[in-house]
Amino acid sequence: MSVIAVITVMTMATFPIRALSLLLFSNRKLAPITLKFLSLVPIAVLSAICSPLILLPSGQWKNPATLIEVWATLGAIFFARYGTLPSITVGIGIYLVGKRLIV
Amino acid sequence: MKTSPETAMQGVADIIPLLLGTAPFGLIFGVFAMEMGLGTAGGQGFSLFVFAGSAQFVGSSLYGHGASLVIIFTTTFLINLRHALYGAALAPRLSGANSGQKIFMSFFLTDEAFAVVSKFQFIKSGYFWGAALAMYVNWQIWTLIGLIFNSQLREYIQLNLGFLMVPALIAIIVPQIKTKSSVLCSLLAAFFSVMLSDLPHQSGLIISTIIAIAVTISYEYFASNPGNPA
Repeated sequence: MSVIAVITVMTMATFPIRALSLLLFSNRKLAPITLKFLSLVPIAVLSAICSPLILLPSGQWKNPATLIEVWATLGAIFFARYGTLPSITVGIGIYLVGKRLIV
Repeated sequence: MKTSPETAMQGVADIIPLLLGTAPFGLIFGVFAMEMGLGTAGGQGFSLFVFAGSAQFVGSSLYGHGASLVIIFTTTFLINLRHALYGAALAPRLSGANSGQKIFMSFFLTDEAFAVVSKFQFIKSGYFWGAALAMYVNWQIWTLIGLIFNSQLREYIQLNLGFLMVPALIAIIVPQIKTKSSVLCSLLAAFFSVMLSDLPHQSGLIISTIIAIAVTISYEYFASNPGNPA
């Protein structure tokens, strides 16, 4: 099986989903409940992406208090009020320092 | 925030924190692609033409383990289903772009670009392009570095480098969580995504998203219509 075939197949499984959804929902008057649904998508999707990375870093459940990912997340949440950069710096800083101490 | 800034440079500036967060992902993908036998051109081809982080990892893994094209197509499709939600959410906000532009834009619609531009109710094309193209170029560069220096970088992959993206996403999510409904939605999505994380092809991500939104909308409905029977 050639790499080109795999790339072609994967592109066919990626691009149309993005393009069709963007086109199908354009220039349409959407019902209020649809608009409400769509307005909540960013918060829901991004929360859903982050949570397993924070709480299940090894793929298995552990006491959250023992996970450096949880502490780094709490730091990032706390500093989010001061802006994007402080939040990221604190979150990544806690994570890297914690990992180094644990390893 | 109602309308995004107009300039591409502002889009670039706003996505910079996420560029830092996704750099390790790109590096790891480069190393992983070599491990799976894609080669330098193949690994870079994945990033150039597929441009879908997690799907690239899974696709290259399937390729490396000899999966058929049908399996690769189906798995990639399922992993990328969340992009249908992204497109649907952004479509009404990209009112200034015509259909041709939107088709072109959709190729660059990643988790990170969505996270940055979805803060706005109306998104200017220039702003979208700044953020999206910066992410694209960033992903290509880090993939290439990973491909070239794969043997030296292999030992660092033991770290959970994927987590480095999380603080960047948190810095974007937290300011958007202002109401009881948004707190509820975020917590529900987080809870269900962990509970359903074992489901195949990242389908738990989509299911948890839909459950969280459905419950939140129901909560809002009954909270604003207390006379209605539940």
